[in-house]
Amino acid sequence: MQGKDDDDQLRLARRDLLRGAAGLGATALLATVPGAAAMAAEERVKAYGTTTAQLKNWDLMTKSIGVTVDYTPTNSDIGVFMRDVMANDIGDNVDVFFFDGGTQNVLGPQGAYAEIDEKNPELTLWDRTPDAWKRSDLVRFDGKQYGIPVIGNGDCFGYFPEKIGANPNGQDDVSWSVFFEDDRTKGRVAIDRSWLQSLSETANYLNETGKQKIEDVADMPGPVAAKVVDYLVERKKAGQFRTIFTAFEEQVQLLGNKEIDLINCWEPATKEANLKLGPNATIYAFTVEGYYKWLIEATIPVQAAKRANIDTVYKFLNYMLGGEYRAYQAKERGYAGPNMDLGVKYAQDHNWPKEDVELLQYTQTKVDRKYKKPFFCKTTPVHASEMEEEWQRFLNA
Amino acid sequence: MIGNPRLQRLARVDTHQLDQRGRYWRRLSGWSGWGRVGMCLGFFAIAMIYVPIALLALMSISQSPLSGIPYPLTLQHYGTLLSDGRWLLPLQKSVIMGVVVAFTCMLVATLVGRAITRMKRPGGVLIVSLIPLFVPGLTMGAALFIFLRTMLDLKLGLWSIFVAHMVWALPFALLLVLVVASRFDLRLLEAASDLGANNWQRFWQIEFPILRPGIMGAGIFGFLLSFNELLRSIFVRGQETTMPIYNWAMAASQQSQVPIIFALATIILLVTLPVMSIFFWLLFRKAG
Amino acid sequence: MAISTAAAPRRYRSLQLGRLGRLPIVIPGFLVVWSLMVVLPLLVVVAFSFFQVKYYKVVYQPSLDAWISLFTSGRWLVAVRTLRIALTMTAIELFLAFPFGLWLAKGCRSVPLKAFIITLLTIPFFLDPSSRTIVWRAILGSGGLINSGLMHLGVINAPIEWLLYSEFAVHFGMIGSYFPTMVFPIFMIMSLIDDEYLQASADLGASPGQTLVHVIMPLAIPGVMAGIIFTLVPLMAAFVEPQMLGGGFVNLLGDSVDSALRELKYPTAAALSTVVVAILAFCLLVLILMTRKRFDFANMFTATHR
Repeated sequence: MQGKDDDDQLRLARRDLLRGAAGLGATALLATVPGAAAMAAEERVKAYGTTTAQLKNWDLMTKSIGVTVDYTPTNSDIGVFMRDVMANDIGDNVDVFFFDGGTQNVLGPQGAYAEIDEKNPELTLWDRTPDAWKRSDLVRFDGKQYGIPVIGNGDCFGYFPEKIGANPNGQDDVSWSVFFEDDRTKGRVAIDRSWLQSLSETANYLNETGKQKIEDVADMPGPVAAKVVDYLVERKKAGQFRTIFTAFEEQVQLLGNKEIDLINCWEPATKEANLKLGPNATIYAFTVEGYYKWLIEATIPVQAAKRANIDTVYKFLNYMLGGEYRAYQAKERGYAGPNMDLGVKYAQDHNWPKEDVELLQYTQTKVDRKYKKPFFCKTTPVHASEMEEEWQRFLNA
Repeated sequence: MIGNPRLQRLARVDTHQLDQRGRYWRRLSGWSGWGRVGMCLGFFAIAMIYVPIALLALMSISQSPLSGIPYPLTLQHYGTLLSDGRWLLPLQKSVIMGVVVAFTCMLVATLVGRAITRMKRPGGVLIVSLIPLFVPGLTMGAALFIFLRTMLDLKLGLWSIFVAHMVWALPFALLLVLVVASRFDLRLLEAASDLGANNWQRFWQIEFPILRPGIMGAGIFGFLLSFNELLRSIFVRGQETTMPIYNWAMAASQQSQVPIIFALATIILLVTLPVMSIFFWLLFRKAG
Repeated sequence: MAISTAAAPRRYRSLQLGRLGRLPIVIPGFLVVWSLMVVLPLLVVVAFSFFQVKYYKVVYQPSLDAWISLFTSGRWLVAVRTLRIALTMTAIELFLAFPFGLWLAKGCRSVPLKAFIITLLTIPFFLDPSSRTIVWRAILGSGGLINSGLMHLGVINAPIEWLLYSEFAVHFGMIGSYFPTMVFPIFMIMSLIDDEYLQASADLGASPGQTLVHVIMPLAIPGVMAGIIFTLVPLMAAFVEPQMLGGGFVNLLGDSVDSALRELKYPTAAALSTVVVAILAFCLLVLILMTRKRFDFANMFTATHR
């Protein structure tokens, strides 16, 4: 992709020609699809990213701040996201990206992301946003601010308290040992197929319990990862795991049908399962050894930083630091984020039921408690390639 | 059809040979219940398709769809689905794309299929045209992406999705046309030629009616394969969202989409069942 | 089976007949477009397997790393496992679909019923495969319909664990999904067999079994071959059933490629795919050599002209 600027004219001509030849029929037919056009004078932002950051209903926002958003959804597949940003120049048409914090380690230095303009007049809530969120390594790289934190959590596992003899109120600090090597849970554990999560959680457990000495559990060179995978293979052969799951729906179903006792799922899965099984039937754990702490960041592509609607973009981002967005995200998914106090205030002002308000307050204490433990995830570990390769041994064992 | 060598061969099946086969085989081969066995095997397989689909439809009207227990019943998921509306545009794009791919498949498969059956050594062309079948979908997608985007530096979009779908669907369409075309007797054209028919008449009045099941099959497969295509589309989508891409993206939303997806599947089922039934009925009635 | 099953008679063809209805531009034109759309991109990807990816960027230096790690990580095993399962399933589907296709084409006389059955076989393509498959889990799971039913009846005391998250479950779930693609071509070719042939065969005193072996089977070979290809190919790419029903213990090709591409490891994905294509090509070659005496693959799809 070098020499981008020198023969732009040529490029354009060739592009038009080929496009015309290859896609004539399809393009002509589909150009008539409504919705693609209709760009009115209203304030409009185009977003692209993982659906976790989406509100169930964006009309709420349009009503509050007058901004409309076109949201192109993508999966949490990092390969697809990186490719779209790096090779597909998706920033040409998009104003904001939403993805797991950490991508700026690669895409920041490459010049795909613009630095956040902390002084933009529309970003009114930035100064009051706590440093724990806005200065996190997951939104910064090399001393530069690339991202705005949107939501986050510490991931661990969900469990049925009676199966492991834990306090049913869910306030115990449970050790990851019940997940990896407890005889009571043998053959009753589901582990995530994503190595980013499962491998570093295992490494953290081994490191914290002193079984192995690992420098950075979220970013391991080949030989270090190999030892962790050896341990996992041994556990797999011993029959510890019932299944290796992939999708969110699987998590919900595994819990809801009591197919397993423990699962390193996402927190909303326990919420969904409890809708069926009753309150606190499954519990999302507090752990002894630590959490896979992540957050979703909003970033601005360099192309967008020069566009006319950049102030609208900041208005949109500011909304995500505010109370309404916070309150609804916490209610719908149980995820925290910066400025939860504003979320609580919003809920009180809008006469939300008392339980809902308490839930928001609890979400805050919960995340504070989790964030005191190790460890932060890395979305783009330097040793990603070797870790992925080692993980294949676990899958094929 | 008279003087067919296969029938002559058949006539050579003599009793001597049959005696060698043994009694058991003779009894089995003379048994007329084979039709029923075939029917039962097929109905078993169809049941294997429809047990989950029926359950899915049932679950779409129950409170917690993933549990396997239908009660309590509710229509709320349909309400959620209809008030959502984000899936409408992707669905529309998928349907239009499917139709365009289907017609292109019919046209190209007919042209190329006819030409292949008239070649002396079609093996090479056949293998080249079937290559995409043997390459894993994601790899084919990656190949198209690297080639179109990284090397040719084109802007990807619906046209590249169309290319990817054609690469996937055309080999199937071609095979279907070939299956029918291989049963086609070229002497019919010779006869027509002798009777003074021109090229177009020979094709339209003689060849086309015989090839029609294959061409129709090519269109149907083209549509279905395109409508379902995900692996290649992910790579060449640009910023377009088709129905499978939409479902794929929503899987990461950390909110259960199953109630909505089940409801949508049920609606699609209820719409396509009568439409396709009538379509096939008309098709068969015409052909029969 | 003393009588040769197929062995198309040596075809006599005059120059003039070969030209009937033939547009000379079609094949070269098609080959050019197809080379651009398929062959060239694939060659590029194969070339990529000799590069390296470091920290999400392709390093354009020749290297065998992707190929070496394919074997050290045991990744190549998925190619073999995938092929094994795909072939087994293709055989099962053929066993189910051949008799059914025959019955549907020749035994089923009611046009509305025929149309309805074909519709039933078409509908699954419209429905999201993940949601179809996830339902099986509620049926096969340890607290699912089958286990709880059997336990209720007292047949078993403890749930049968291998019903779900096993190779059995994967095969079981695939039966329905890959049946239609096998039926369609077989049904089509059976429909094209002239009833007169069957009648003549019966008139000559052949039993139904003999008609099947000596008349129907030879004529049906192109359809059966198409059916095998139609079924084997999607099976090689299967990922929904192995993921959802195999519980991650049945790691197949599609998943492995996906995992590599998530880290933008194009070289690994390319090398793995090359291995698959090589294995398939090898199988095809063996098949052609084994059946060379009986059956001429190259001319299978040549228009009849006697």
